[in-house]
Amino acid sequence: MFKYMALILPIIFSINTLAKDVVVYTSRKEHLIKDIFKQYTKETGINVSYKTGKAAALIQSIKAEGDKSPADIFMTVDAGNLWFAGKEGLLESISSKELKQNIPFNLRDEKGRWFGLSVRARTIAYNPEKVKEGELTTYEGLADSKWKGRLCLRTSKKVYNQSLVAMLISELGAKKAKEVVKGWVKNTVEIFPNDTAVLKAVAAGQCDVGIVNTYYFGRLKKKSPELSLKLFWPNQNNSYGVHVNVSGAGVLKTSDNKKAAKKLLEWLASRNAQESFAQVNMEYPINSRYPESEITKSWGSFKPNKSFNLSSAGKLQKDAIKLMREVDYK
Amino acid sequence: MLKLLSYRVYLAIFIFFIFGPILFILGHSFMSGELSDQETWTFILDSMLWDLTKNTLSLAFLTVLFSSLIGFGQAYLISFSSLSKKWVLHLLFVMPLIFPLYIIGFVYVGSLEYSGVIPSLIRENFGFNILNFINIKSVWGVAFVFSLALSPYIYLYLKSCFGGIDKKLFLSARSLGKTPRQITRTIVLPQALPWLFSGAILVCLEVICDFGGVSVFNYETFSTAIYHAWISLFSINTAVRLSLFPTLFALILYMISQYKFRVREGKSKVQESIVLLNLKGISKKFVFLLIFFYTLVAVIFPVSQLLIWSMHAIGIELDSDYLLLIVQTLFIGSAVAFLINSIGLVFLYLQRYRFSSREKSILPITKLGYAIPGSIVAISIMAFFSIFEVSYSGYFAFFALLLAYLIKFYSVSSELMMRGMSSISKKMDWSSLSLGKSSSFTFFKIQLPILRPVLFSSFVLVLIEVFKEMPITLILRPFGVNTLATRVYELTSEGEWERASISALFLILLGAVSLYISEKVINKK
Repeated sequence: MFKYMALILPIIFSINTLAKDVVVYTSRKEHLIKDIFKQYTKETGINVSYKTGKAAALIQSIKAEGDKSPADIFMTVDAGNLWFAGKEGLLESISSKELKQNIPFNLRDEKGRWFGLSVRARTIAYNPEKVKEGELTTYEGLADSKWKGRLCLRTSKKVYNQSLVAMLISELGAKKAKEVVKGWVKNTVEIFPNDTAVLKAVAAGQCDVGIVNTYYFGRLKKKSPELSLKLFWPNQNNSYGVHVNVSGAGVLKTSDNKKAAKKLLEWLASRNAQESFAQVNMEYPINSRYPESEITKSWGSFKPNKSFNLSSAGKLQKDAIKLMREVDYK
Repeated sequence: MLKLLSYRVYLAIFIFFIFGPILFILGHSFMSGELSDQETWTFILDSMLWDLTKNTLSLAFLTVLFSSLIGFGQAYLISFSSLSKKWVLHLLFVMPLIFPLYIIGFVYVGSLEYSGVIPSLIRENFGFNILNFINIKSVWGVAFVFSLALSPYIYLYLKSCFGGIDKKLFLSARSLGKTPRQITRTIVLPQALPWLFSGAILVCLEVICDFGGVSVFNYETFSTAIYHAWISLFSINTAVRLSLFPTLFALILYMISQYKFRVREGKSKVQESIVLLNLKGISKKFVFLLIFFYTLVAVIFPVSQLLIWSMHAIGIELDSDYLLLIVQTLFIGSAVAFLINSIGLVFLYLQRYRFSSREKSILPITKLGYAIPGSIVAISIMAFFSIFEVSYSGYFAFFALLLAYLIKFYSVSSELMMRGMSSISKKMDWSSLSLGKSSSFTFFKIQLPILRPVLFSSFVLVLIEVFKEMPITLILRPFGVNTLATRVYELTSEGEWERASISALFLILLGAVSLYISEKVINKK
């Protein structure tokens, strides 16, 4: 019995961690990274193997494995998670001219522990049949009583909303931010578990506006182009701009292959790789000089928030969660 | 082999492995002096504890109530009614067991929320909003959907209870002129109570530990708070401390079930089926209508919705990788089911012939893992073995995965086996032992053949639990290994319901085939 098990196990668990591989622990989903890593292998001959999972669990694995961890890179979405990995002392400070050059200052850690690799905007989606032009202005505007019974939100448990509220705290101060979120909650029809559900509710007429990440809008529109949905870019004039966040990565302190890991990060931030890395998920390239996909271009251009350094998203995340709890944002 | 070491040593080793990691991480979490942990802990206690308790208990109560009603009715029909083709009914009644809560949840939410197919059709054709009458995301809605998927636990427990009731009791009651209603009240119900209680504990703990299902409904329970503390508030220690609440709750339930609701020992059986519910004419039609409605909402509707969704995604989602996913799911499931049941057997033997009452009283704690959310079980194992700084990329990951499943699902099999064993009369042991046969002879040659159906059920139940399980697999799976459940997670967390429905269907198919095979084996005389 055990003899057979020993024979079968390696076949079943195709253990593909050769010494030369770069190993990535990532909360990005397999179907979003598989091809880009294949492309890297094709260009450089260096194999990339990866393990997917939830960010918090991967952080826990890296801690538990310590020096024995096979992982070289930690890759995840949302700056809050990257900030936490940095704060826990898991990430190595990397100094790289290329990374500094290609990635804007507000989208990477100031100590070089993590780097944004693609940009997503969290903006307002609306139903053009029900919202008049000029009605929408800013995130703060959605707290106005004219939106009562017209707003749909995603759960406050999602990190994307926590980062958004962290940004509001940073831009407006805690008191004003609380008023805004309180206004949202008053105006909200229903709170949903994911962005796609928010978009569907807006399109179906359950509410008129919602706050979502752009790529969810892109995916849904691609599947059902007939849906009555449009994107609006808030806070454009005399204001801080649209809230953006990143997916990103950092090199692990416990990695014994740091050089190769750094090289992979540099490659991912390069113009060549960015074309596929950002586009596969309908995100924006990390550097605004790089070409965008036709789809994201069709949504129009906008001014992103550059004053809010994404490290603050992590630092303020707890405050944001408490604030949302206080105003009963479930 | 069992005699090599004292049986107490086995018990100690077992408890060490099954309880060590949890105790370790609990101790660690309470010793943490970090300010941020203290802050988070106080924040959750102050601002969330009351809501969490209220939400969790009301959902658990309603789900137990609904699934007991469904399960009792089903078991009664199968055991005591005059209906024919009972095996078809039986398969229908156990079918929902193979639906993970998160899958049946997303089917119901996806089709019954405002933008879903059914409310949209009703709005367009009749001009009114059905959500004013049925809100699937209310506690009633969640409990209804959960009961569909969880009622088979109650059904299975009660069915084996009814099957084990001494038939002579019925015959004598009848000869005394008791009506079927009186017989049900005086014989069936009192015997059913302990079994019902055991089934209810399982359902209750499934509800309390579930994370995937409730998050689809955006319904807040202890589980979601545990995740929230860990993932959003970055405090693993708070998460671990919070998981103490459901664990203690489970311990109390197990204690009550052990001391208050002991299963009565069975007696020799008379081979005759007992009919207490003679269905004819209108009552038969009514029962058929109920069964049809149940089949519609619990089986036909979810499966057809998944089929419709999968049609849209089959082109982009289905590829040769699925073969590997299926093989890995099957392999992990069977390895775990084999391990858990083998250990269960060892303890079944020890409990029957070796353990003193003091040792038996320790046993409920081996079942506590069932009350701990899967993610916390996984994390506790990682923390426990972090002393040795091991990598989770090779065989060790497989060991860790097996251990996590053992902690989590041991109670599923042990509960079933113990119940089965205790319905075998002790007199049988005494006669065998007094004829000079050894206890292991009695166990292997006499009792195991009687227990065969229980063993098969237990194997398949664990198998299906592992197929469905998500957090443990996600956290501890060895490098490069994916299962159908993790695939469902990857896709649903990105809102890709249509693509996810393909993995969901495969998962259901695997479960259905396993159930079908086990039924065939069990019923083969």
